Amino acid sequence: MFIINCPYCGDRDQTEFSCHGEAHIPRPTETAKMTDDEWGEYVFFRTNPKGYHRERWLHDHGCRRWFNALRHTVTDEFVATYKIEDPRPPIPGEGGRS
Amino acid sequence: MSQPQRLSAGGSIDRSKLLSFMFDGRQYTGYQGDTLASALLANGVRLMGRSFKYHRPRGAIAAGSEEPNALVQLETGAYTEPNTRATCIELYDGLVAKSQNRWPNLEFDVGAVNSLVARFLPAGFYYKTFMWPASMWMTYEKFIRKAAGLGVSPVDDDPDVYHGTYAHCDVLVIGGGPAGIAAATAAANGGARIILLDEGNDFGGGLLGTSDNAASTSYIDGALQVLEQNDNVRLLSRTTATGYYDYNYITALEKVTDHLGPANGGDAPRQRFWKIRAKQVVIAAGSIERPLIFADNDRPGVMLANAVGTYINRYGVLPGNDVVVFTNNDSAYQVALDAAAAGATVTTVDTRRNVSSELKSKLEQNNIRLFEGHAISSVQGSKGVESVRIMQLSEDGESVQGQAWEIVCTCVATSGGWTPSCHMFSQSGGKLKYDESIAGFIPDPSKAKVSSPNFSAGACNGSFTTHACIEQGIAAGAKAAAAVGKTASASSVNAFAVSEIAQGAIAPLWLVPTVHPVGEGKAKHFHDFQNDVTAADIHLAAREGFVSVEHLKRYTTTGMATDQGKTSNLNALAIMANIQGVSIPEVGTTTFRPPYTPLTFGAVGGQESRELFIQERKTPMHEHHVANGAVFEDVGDWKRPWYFPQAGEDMHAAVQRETLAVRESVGMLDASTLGKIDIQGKDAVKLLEMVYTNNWQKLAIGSCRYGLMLNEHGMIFDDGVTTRLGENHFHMTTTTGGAARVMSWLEEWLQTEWPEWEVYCTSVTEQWAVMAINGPNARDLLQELTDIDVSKESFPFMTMREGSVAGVPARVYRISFTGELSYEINVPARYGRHLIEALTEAGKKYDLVPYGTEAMHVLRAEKGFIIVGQDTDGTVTPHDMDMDWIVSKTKEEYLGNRAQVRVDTKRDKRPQLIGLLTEDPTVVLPEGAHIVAEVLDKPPMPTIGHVTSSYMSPNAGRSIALAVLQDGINRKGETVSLAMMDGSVHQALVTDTVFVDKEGVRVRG
Amino acid sequence: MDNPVIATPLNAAKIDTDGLTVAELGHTSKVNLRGDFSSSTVNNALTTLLGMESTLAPNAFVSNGASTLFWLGPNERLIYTDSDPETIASQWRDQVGTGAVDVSDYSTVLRLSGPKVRDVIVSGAPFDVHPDEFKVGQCAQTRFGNASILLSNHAETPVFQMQVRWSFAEYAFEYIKRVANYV
Repeated sequence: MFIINCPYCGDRDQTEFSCHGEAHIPRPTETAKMTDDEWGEYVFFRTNPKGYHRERWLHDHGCRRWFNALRHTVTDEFVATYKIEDPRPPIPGEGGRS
Repeated sequence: MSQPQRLSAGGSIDRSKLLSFMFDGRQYTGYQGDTLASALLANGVRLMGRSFKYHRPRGAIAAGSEEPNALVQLETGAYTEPNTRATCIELYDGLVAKSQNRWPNLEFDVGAVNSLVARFLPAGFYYKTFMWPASMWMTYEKFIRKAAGLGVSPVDDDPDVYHGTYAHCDVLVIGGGPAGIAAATAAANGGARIILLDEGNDFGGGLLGTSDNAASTSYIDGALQVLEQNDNVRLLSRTTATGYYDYNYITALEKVTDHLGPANGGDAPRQRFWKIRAKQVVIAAGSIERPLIFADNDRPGVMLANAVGTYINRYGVLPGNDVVVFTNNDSAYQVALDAAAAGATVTTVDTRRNVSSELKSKLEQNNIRLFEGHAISSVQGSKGVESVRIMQLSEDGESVQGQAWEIVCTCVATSGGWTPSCHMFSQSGGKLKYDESIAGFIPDPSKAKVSSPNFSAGACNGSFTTHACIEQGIAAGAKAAAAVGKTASASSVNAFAVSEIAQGAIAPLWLVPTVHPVGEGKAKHFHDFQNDVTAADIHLAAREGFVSVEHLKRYTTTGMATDQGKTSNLNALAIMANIQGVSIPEVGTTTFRPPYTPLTFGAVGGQESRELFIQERKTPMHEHHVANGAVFEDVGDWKRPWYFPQAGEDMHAAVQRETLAVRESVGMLDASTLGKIDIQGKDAVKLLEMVYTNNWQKLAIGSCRYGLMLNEHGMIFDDGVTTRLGENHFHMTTTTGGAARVMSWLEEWLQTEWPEWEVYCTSVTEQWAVMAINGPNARDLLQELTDIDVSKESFPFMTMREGSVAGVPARVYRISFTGELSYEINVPARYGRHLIEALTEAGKKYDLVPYGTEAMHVLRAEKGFIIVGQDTDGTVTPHDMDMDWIVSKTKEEYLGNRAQVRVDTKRDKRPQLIGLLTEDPTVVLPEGAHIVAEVLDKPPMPTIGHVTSSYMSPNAGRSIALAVLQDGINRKGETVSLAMMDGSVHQALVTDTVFVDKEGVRVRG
Repeated sequence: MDNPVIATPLNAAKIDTDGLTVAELGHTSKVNLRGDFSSSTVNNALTTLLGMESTLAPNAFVSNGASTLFWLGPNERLIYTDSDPETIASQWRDQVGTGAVDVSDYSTVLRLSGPKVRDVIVSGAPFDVHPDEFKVGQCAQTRFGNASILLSNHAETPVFQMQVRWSFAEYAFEYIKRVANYV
């Protein structure tokens, strides 16, 4: 049961939140020009890493704001939570790759 | 004589409070402060149960929660609880317990025949025997469950109440022995918020069983007194930490009134489930003694040495008058001395040959015989130890040799060393390391999980002396306090020393040899008592290739069941290591999993049971519905009136009456549960254009429009009517069950994808109480109550008007889910009750009928209106629902647009919504019934669709149904077959989906 | 037509037990306000409409007697007010150009006092209400059982308020009543 730092409300119990999968997957524009494969890539395919993962969370029972988190899927360590408009914080130990 | 094994003095029991209890139908007495196990032992009862697989006679081997054997069925009827450990049940007057796993009684058990056929019941027996054929499993399962079970679950409703609560603290201290008390004292002194918990009824842990009882008690009492006076400290006794989860989230079970007996707790809950969030944790969980694994080491009377010491010192009970102490380390010598002091004849058998002269002289002074380099080679007596034979151990410890000596005894106190209780550290995500000096695993703080900071102190950290426990406790408490920004003071902890003999140098002997090799002869070397797993089983597993520790566990079941192998795990690992010729750490440990000790479902649920199990959401008109005899239906979390039966009516009659009345005159429905979202901002239209499939730009102010929402798979996920209240202001409605989902859907897109858009969504579901009035007389009824001009011309279909209804402000939407002339009257929720009363009164002259969701379903099905989630299932597109008319041909982008033209969504022969009219008009098809391509003798038959909605329609004068059928739109006019579960087949005509008023005249009336 | 009864979901129900008093407040006008609360436009609107200022820390509330302003999110506030909520909402939309909605009936407010209050609340809320962590003048949106709530701390004695949606009010009230016996 995590403690999650809502960028707006601060540290809160995980049961106030819900996770909505991988972050930073923008909706394509001009979708009519996409092939089925390209569309399928957007709708169905996710990275599912063993390691650091950027994901989207909602503070359901709190301020009802969406935000992003950088979480390690093995240790469950939240390296950072950040607002939608914020730059991506770097992944630890990867020379600042974001 | 009563309580023949009770010592004349000593222990911390209250001898002034004599308690009477029943075990297996026989009356006994004990004292306040006893456990059921200590009281039984005081009465000379060693036999307390039968084992799981072989039904061997068993007694208590421990004095605490690690007990694997003495499981009893506590109490009777609704209060009964299986598999409770006699060593943890605090005795109360009138207690009733039964032994388990025996028939017809404990002394003579038919199942013990399993013991005679033991060579046919080796490890993996069930896997090997009951694997084929699969269809027989149902039969096997009954047999297995009957033959090899533990206690019996209660069948009656649980009469007890439970409480669950969250708690927060700076430092949680798990375990209230010397280390835990010291840690709590040190940390509390710096001002930290502390929770100190211990599973016992008294704090003190291992100190409670020492011979230096007076000194221990005064030390504990002194420390507790200081802690109790500190407002920042919460002391929880009878509380076991059951699980350690991410981010220092620890659950704990507090037994609040169990010790008082059934129904004696007053208003207090029986148990409390703590959900604790701690910034720092000090684990001071102590250690558990290991038994030595010798031939027939499971006979009643064979006990852990410290348990014998605890029974003597804490409970004033001598478990046997003739005691053999069998050990490979120093700690059991204290037990030998304690037993001798209590009047027992004591013999000590030590597997080592280098016992210190100091210990030797102590034994001599107390007339205790010592055999060095010896081992117990066999045990005589089946329902209790009668004697043991001892033989000399070979130098390498692999065999016994020479003359066997027979020693008469009724109690064997055995110690194979001590295993630190690393459960909590391991559950926290930390890794263990092997410490040769204690022959056991201890926490490796360098491999703790970052998100769950903790410190281990005392015996659970491999330090067994009281002095070391206190020192480590102080240090850990200070570090934990410092980590939360408090300054702890070590000097706040009083020094304390107790006379004790610690483990000292240990000479591991993981398997005590006998005259036969392991697995031969009749004797069994049990390491896991609860699951009846023997050393021979581990050898068998190794021979069959189950050498991985996780495979070993599953194959032999070692370490499973309610005790989770507290006394057995390390011995099992060591035996496997010996077989493979590798070190113990190379074998590794299995994962420690919650719960540490069994807990009840009742406690986990806490107060969230019965009507608080899930929220029952109610509308402002709820009480009015109740008063009018409504039968309610659960829709999402809501209680909605299902139908309103009148005297003598069953559901069918009520629904038929309500359905007819709506089309004949007027009916009213509570529609407050529909989701409602207020949408404002200059980009509001843009949002609607994206989330709905149709066009919204030209919707006039005051007008309403139906909309369909798709997910990005192109599938329908919600629908509703949205009304333009102003240029940039809309009122959206959603399905009842989809309200929260739609709100999140809108917010997610707005906040993450289009943050620059100016749109503000606010849930107003409960702001408005809504009554829908439907039927040809709806206008006349409304007219009686409102100042709004309700004429056909000035208030047309699909528009909204604001005004006053029944004297309160209202928004009236002329929209319809029945195909009738219909108004949905919205008033602020505070006036909901007023509105329904006013309608009821004014409606009398129109024979206004309240109707429920079932009539609503029939009415909308008569018009072919879909219900999302009933006629759709997340796999249907608008085209599948024959709703192409609502999909814009001109919009370039909306959510789900691209998926409409995927290969799969535009393929032929997708299931499509159609109507069905059965050949026999009285037949109401079951919802879910399959339309089959071909009728065969028996299932499976190739299915081409299924019924989604089906009713008897009084307005159509026959049964009607909606269904999805492959290529259905092109099959209208065909006859299809529907196969029923009972083998019968119905024929039905494929039609369009509108069964009443096909021209749609009434709704515009 | 008679004067219509103004109902609340719990009909002003009360709990008065040893260590805990709970009372449902009467109908309270509430307006949900949106906008950029660092802007002068919003500040001006707050001043002219309600006589309040927009500086408000996250998870805090402030009252001037006639109105109480709660922080709900970075661009969202809730106001309890003695003024007409529809008027406030439409004036806000006119002056600020953002969203404002009358949500007076969306929820009800329970006022809890007595020494057991904190133990009652943490029975259902995973939120730390220790006086060092949740001070007078602070508010928090969290959950109580399965109900989303807006919790606020009004006095050290202690006095808490729990705002809960109309349809969840009975659930929350019964929950409080049940745990009041257990703490």
